[in-house]
Amino acid sequence: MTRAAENEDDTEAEIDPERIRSRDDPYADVDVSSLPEWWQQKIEHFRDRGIDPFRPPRFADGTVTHDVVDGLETELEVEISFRCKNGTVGDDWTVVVDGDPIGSIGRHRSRNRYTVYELSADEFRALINTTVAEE
Amino acid sequence: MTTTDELSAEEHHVGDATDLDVGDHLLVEVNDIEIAVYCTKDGYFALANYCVHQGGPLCEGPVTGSLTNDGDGSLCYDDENQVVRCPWHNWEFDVETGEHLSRPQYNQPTYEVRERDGELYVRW
Repeated sequence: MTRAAENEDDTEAEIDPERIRSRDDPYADVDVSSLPEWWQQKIEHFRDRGIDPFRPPRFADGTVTHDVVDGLETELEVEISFRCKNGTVGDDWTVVVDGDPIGSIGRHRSRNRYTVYELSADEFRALINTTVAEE
Repeated sequence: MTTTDELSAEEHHVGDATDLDVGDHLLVEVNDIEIAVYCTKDGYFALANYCVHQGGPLCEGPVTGSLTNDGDGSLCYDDENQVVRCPWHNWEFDVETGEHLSRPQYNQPTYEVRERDGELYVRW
């Protein structure tokens, strides 16, 4: 699957540690209390564990996956997840609906540390809607 | 092993235990958080897929044994202790404990894994 074109995205071999280190807290200029509750919970989850600030996974067009997945799960009354057995960098992941694999999706951790699924939100909605409609 | 607050912890389903043999691991996004569940000879262990160093996709790195000192100053390869190496900057962690191999002040977050009726759940 084609990797989404993003200007911040490079192969891991090109990552400059100093450049990454210089990046600031993504919430430095954000009123965290204005974010949705689920988002605030994840920020706290990451902070409590001493890991990098939470950056919500997103689709190739920048849409946050949570809103799309949550909406589809509610609308279609299904459970959607992403997984990959013995995955390594660059591997596609599997989209799972109600425990059944329904297709693969490109995925990578971008240079600025977002997980990016390499479909647009509309393409992902179409994938799920088509699958559920066929069942 | 876990950093979970037991009072507020919830179980999150991650997959079918029969899908994992010893040596396998399963990467899964659960409620917007990426976790890898490793199946070792000692059981199931879960690590966050965000390296404590700089947020790299730790659990997408290779899993190997480790080099240990055999007591007389020589190194030997120990395939009992499984180690995962971050693909971004090669930081290495014990997959069962989350401990960094050479910098004990750094620990990769771990999650408790429970197996019930053939299904795997992580808690946080």
